Formats: sequence, C-alpha cells, structure tokens
Amino acid sequence: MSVRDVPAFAHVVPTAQERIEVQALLTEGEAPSSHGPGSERGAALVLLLLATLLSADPDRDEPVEDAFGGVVQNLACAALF
Amino acid sequence: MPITSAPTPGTVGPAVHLLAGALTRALLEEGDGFRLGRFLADSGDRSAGLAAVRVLGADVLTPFVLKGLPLPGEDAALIEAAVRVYPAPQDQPRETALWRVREAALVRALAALGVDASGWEGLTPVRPARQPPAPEWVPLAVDLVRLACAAPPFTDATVREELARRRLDLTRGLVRALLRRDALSAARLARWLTFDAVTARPPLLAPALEHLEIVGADDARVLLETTIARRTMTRPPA
Repeated sequence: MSVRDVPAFAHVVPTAQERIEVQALLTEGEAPSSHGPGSERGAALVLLLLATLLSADPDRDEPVEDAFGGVVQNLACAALF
Repeated sequence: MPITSAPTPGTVGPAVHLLAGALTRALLEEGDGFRLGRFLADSGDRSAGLAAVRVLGADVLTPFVLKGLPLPGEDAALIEAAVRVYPAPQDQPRETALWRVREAALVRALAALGVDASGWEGLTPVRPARQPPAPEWVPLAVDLVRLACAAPPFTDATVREELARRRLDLTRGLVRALLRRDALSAARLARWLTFDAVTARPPLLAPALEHLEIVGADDARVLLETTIARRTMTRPPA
C-alpha cells in the first residue's frame, strides 16, 4: 500500500502556520524557564516565605533578663558590686 | 504554577496532545486495537493530524514495536503522507543534525516493522555521519531532550554504548530537569535512562517515573514518554 491508497490524506496541503508549528514543536528543547528552586520565580517564593516567618518583634515573649543571654543582668550585678 | 507543557496555540499542538494520548492508551491497553488511520479519521482536521504524526515521529510506531504487533499498510501509508506533506527543511543547517537523527530513528523503526522507507519523499537523507555527544552534562541533557524521538526503544547499539559511559551525566540531567520542574524534559531523560534498564536500572528511575506520572497526569506528552519508558523497561533485550 502506498500513500496514494489513502486518498483523503494524499492531497492535504498544510498552511504556512502549520508548517511553522511543526518546525517549532519538532525542535523544541527543554523549558526555557525554570519554576524550581534557584529560579527567579522560585527565589521570589522563598523570599515571600521568609518574609512571612519574620516577626516585627522577635523578643516579644522573651524575658528581658534573657534577651542577651543574661549579659545585661551580669553587667548590672558587676556595677553594683 | 505551571509545571507541565500546555498545548501550543494553533491546531498542531492540540493534535499532538490528542495523538500522544491515543498512543499512551494503546500502550497501556492489552490487544491490538490501535490504528493510526482510525485515529486520524476521527480527529477531523487532516492537516493537523498529519502534522502530529510528523512531530511525534517514530513514537507513533511504539504501540506496534513495543507490543510486537504488525504495522497495517494503511498506517504506513499515512506516515509516508505525513513525511511528504511536512518534509524536512532544506534551508536550516542548524537543525539538519536534529532532523537526521529523528529520520534515522523513524526509518529504523519502520524497518523493524518490515517497511522500507529509504525512498520516501520528504525524508532527510540519512547519513552515517555521527556527531560526538556534548562533553559537559548540561548540554548533553539538553541535546537528549530534543532527540527524544530517537530514545529507547529506537536507540541503536552505538548510542547505547556512548550512553553507558555517560550514565552519571544522564542521571544528573534528569535530576536537573526535575528540580527545574520541567516535567516533559524530565520524562524524556527518564526514557533515555532506560537504554539498558533490563540489565542496569538506575535507582532513581522508578521513583522519578512515579513522580512524573503524578505531576504530569494532565499532560499527554509527559505520560507518553513515561509509558514508553515503562514498556521499554519490561521489554526483553533485543
């Protein structure tokens, strides 16, 4: 059997747009942009996540004397004695 | 966030996705019910249908090659029509090597099914001149993604020997594609990694395929690649 035996398809004439699409799909490689870690979009998401984790007042629930590992308290005692 | 490839605008991209879906179903189902002619007749747009056949290249033969089924004469004639209607470009030297590799895989697959395509109008002359693979692993992976139509089961012995020396580079390419969330490229590289999966299956291959089948569940082209990879892995070596 040859292509002439498939009459419905033997005389198909593609448009220029279809030829361009075929060429583009045939030669396509990997995705031009990454969506994973390290990508521009991925980095933006990491920054957004970090921003949500940051607190405007990180020492809010922490006792004053422990804020600097007890250093302020030690200095106060040293000044007294 | 898009992690799979949507059909490109126009008529050819959707037709490629439809044909990829039909091929995937044909590979997953038992029996010999798939006919390329029936699919193209049902799809309506003849020109886009033939374009899809040309884009998928040798992959349209996977249901026959991987299941050991004879290729109907009408289907062979339709592939010939697709090659004639969408001939390889003669004025794009940068793409010549790519076309040659694709055409060689198609001719080899047809020959395995008993069809001599050497004189077909529109085919790029297949010459034995072979370019050495890229020495760095990223360019190698990028090249192999573009040459997925020549991936297993259509890989010849010489390429398999070269890949055996670059197994780590190939695996690095797969990991890179997964991290980039480029599911189609990752699926294609996973398919390349099946070049000797019967004797030496990389540990990453099975979980990578499972991952891709989940994230690419809506992408017919990703699923076609993973399905071909799985079928190739279970196929006895030639």
